[in-house]
Amino acid sequence: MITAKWLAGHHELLGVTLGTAFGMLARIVMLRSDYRQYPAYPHGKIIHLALGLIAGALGAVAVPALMSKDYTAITFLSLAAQQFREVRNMERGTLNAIDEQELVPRGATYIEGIAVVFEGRNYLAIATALIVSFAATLWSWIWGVFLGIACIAIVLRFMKGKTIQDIAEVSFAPVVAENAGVSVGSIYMMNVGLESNLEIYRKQAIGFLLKPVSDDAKVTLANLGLRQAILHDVSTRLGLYRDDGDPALQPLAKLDLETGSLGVLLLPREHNPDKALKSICDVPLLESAVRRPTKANKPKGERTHG
Amino acid sequence: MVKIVMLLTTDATNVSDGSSAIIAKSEEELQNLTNAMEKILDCAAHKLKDGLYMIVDRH
Repeated sequence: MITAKWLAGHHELLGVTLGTAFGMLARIVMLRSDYRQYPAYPHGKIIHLALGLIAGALGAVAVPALMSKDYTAITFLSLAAQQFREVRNMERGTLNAIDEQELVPRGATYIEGIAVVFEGRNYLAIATALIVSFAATLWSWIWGVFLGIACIAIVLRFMKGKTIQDIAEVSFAPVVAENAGVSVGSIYMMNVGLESNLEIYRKQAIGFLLKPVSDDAKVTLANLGLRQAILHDVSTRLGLYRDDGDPALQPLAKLDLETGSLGVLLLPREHNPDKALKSICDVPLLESAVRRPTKANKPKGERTHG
Repeated sequence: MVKIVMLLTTDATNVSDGSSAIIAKSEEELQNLTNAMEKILDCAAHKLKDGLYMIVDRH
């Protein structure tokens, strides 16, 4: 029979159980299926929940192992790191394979961002388990639970990354489709030869202008991967008014070279400008697209990295 | 790299000998032919000037 007295005599067991549970819980909290649609199917979720359980167990077991002076146990953590790098490769492989069949592909930068997030979230699950297990084994289960809840709150904070809204002012811009050309505001997008295609652009297209808020934002907005991510995300949320074999109908993003603003031309199936505006504002700012030239160009002598 | 697949025009002097081109009899026929070639070749049609279209492959 499990009683408070019995638990008091089994600190380590309690620590490992609590650590594993909170590690797993942290992974569950971080596992989302939203408009990015991955992992959206049951088997995709099971893979990540199983890995979350393993991550939690590895983190939790490390504490009692170290306390019993079994220092080799720490090598298990490096084994886990190896395992999670594999997860990153697996995600990258899967998403690359799917990307070939998308009408508007995610692009390599977005895929790399998603893969890194999958790996990073497993490490957060390990860290949560380690902290909870440490507190529960050394002090008491109440501390374990308390720190576990704190860890999950921190983890949730980690998940809130920046979005396009943080680097650019998004506004509507008129789409002009005439004389064999399509423009968004003052930005020329492309040449469209057929009148029937121009008519589709006039009827269906929505244009946006993304005005960078700083010099750093200007360089970040120019990143091709970020532009592709914007087009993919909005097309996923609002649908796409084109089919395979319609190369003239193409959502596009082009820079205004003078001002650094980005013109975005969309062909949504659902012609709802407000929803389109919201979905552009919500596009995540990809880690690998962010540039900070103002920081990199600091005068000599100041440490800029390392 | 974009590849030029063919040209369509109403004026034969727009295209040189040896280039893949269709000479249409009227502006209306030119529009219809360009539309058909765009769908058949799965390529984008671009207008260079009145009476001259270019089909390009972006794959």
